[in-house]
Amino acid sequence: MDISTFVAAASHDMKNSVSVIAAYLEDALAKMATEPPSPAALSTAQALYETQRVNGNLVQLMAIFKIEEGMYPFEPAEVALDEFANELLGRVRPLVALKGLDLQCDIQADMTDWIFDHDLIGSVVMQSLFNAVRYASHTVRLSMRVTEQGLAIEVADDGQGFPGFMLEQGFPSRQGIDTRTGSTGLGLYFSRLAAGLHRRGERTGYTRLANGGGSGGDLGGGRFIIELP
Amino acid sequence: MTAHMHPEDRLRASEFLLVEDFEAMRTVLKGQLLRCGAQRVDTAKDGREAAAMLAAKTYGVVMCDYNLGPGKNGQQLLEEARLKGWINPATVWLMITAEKTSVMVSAAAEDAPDDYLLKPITESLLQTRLLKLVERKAALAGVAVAMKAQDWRGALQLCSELVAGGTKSLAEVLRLQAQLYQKLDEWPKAQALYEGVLQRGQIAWAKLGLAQVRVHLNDLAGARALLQDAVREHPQYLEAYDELAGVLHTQGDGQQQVAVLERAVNLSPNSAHRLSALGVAAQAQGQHDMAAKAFSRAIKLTEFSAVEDLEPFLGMAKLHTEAGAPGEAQKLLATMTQRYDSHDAQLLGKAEKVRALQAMGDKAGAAKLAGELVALGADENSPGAADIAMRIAETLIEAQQADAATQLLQYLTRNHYDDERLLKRTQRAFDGLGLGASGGELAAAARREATNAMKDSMQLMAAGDPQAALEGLRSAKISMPRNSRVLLNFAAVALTVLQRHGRSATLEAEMRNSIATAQALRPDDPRAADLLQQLVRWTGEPH
Repeated sequence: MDISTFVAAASHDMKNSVSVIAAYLEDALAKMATEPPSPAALSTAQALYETQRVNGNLVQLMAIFKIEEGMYPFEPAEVALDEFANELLGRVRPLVALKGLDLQCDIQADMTDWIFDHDLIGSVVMQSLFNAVRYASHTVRLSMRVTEQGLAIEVADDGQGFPGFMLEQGFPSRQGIDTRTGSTGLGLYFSRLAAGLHRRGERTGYTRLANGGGSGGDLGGGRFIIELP
Repeated sequence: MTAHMHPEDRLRASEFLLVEDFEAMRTVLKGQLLRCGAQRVDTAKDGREAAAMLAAKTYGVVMCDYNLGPGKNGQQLLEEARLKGWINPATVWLMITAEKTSVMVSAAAEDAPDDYLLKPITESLLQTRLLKLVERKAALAGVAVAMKAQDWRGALQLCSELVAGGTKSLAEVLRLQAQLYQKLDEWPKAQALYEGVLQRGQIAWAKLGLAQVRVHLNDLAGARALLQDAVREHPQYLEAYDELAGVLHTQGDGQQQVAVLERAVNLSPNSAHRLSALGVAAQAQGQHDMAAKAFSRAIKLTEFSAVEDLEPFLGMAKLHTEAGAPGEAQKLLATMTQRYDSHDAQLLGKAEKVRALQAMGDKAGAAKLAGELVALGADENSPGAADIAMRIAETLIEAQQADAATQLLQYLTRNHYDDERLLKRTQRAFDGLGLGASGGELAAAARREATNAMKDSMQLMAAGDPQAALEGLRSAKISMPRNSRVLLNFAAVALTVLQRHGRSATLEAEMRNSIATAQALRPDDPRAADLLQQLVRWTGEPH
């Protein structure tokens, strides 16, 4: 067994364990709901957040491995946007509630569905939402609208925004993943890879980072945008 | 359950079965299901336990891990449950898995679960999905019931109503609709539907469907190009490889066929069906090592599968016989016929045994068994019967049983003179026997006999003598007992005779038999059902 196959198999196994841990933590958190939250609840929330990060990294590791081997089951299909948003928001809700954040969702009124790979884009947006929840002061917003480039899914927060060097270097190649950004670098690489699998005619999926601005009202913090043709 | 039940109430009223081998996960998931509104949740720790529970009770929702440790996997359990009727069309089957794999996009629509859920599963996600699925299943249950009853028209009608009513599962309904058009032979409509879907995006199933339309139009080059594109753009969509392999086979490009199947098998090594296909293709190319490897892996996989799969046994037995080990072949065939008690298994097993006996030098035994097979092969009536008989004939030719093979081929030609695809195959077989001309002559004679009988009967009917028309068709029926056209014409004339002369138990029974045989041979022909309905209506009236 070569090392990458071994890593893939081990990741698969770890994922099962992480899933159980995450479920127990979520369950415990629901039972500790007090106002204001107890210190124990806050540290449980932190543990849950870290567990989700481990899970996200494992998902991305396995997906990158498969994409590069040409083994990823890429499957664009029609996705109902409201259901898609609800599933994603559902996952961050326990943390959002505990941190007392305002979670907004803004889907362009006449948009019902779009064609993309549900699981792949789901994990990209999910990681970005967890990231935003971590850095937001009061508000996190998930929005979806149609632009000239296709469907733009944006995750915005009102935190400090992305550090300058990240905006400058943008989305790294695999060799260029900056160790200063830790798993964020991996996440950015992955999101660019995932977006790039989506093609329609001449157009290809794309990812962007920005601070401030945005079409649905400026939250002032970082914005992660993925555009799918 | 009523059709208008609220999804939440549906969840509460459903029996749940949770199948998961990892104990901690089982506990977690059961808790989540209960908090999502489930009231009754049974659990099973492996495929065997689950199979017993599914057989004993009808579940509304089955949540099943794909990896269940040693033994059956989740997919095999699902296939068995569908095959044995343990679950009904409204049952929701939710497969859970730690990662997205090719199996998820590769299963043919009729083998696929209703949805996959990736771990970790949170309560809110589970609830959203479950509500969505029970609602969708309830909405599509009518279509599923009609499809199970092979009522394609009815299913299509329901699909159109769903589309008109703005269904939430538009993509799935469209896919079903296109498949139904194909079943009903309405290819231009299927084509339009696939093209419409493809205009909106690169949807793999629509590419595959369009390729099938091309195959039907005999545009193999067009189909090949479409499928090669599908395989390139959706490398994990294994159904496209299967279809492409079929096209390459028809084109006579056996080498490419092997290459395509080999790639597909590497991507998803756990499909017995695909391994068998690789084995057969490799065998035809003389790549015996590859064939043997594929067949033996397939045989291993069938151990946990409830779905009958004869190919790897038959292929491996042939390899053994040809490699000078006919004893091994016989042992393997015995295993096969013990495991599968279907008629097909018995027949094809016997045919392959003829080859082994011949190779062992038991010429008398081989000839005797071949003779038996002629009678048995001719006696079949099911939609696949002609293909089975054809296959027996081909095996008999290879096993040097020319007489028996000729008899079977003559029988096939007489009864299926209007089936071009089959005639091509019989012609090739006649050629192989050095009887090149007989196929065409036989087919022409049979066609003449049947056409004359039908034409005569029409004239007799017009002349007001249905009794004579009936006699003519009856003798045609005796010489072509498996010709569905003759059978249905006979039934139609019989009905007229009955209506004129009143009830006759003998004739009614004969008419019913003719219809039943025709229906078994061609389940899609609406005339059979129509005639039967007319008979039932007529016998219900006072006489």
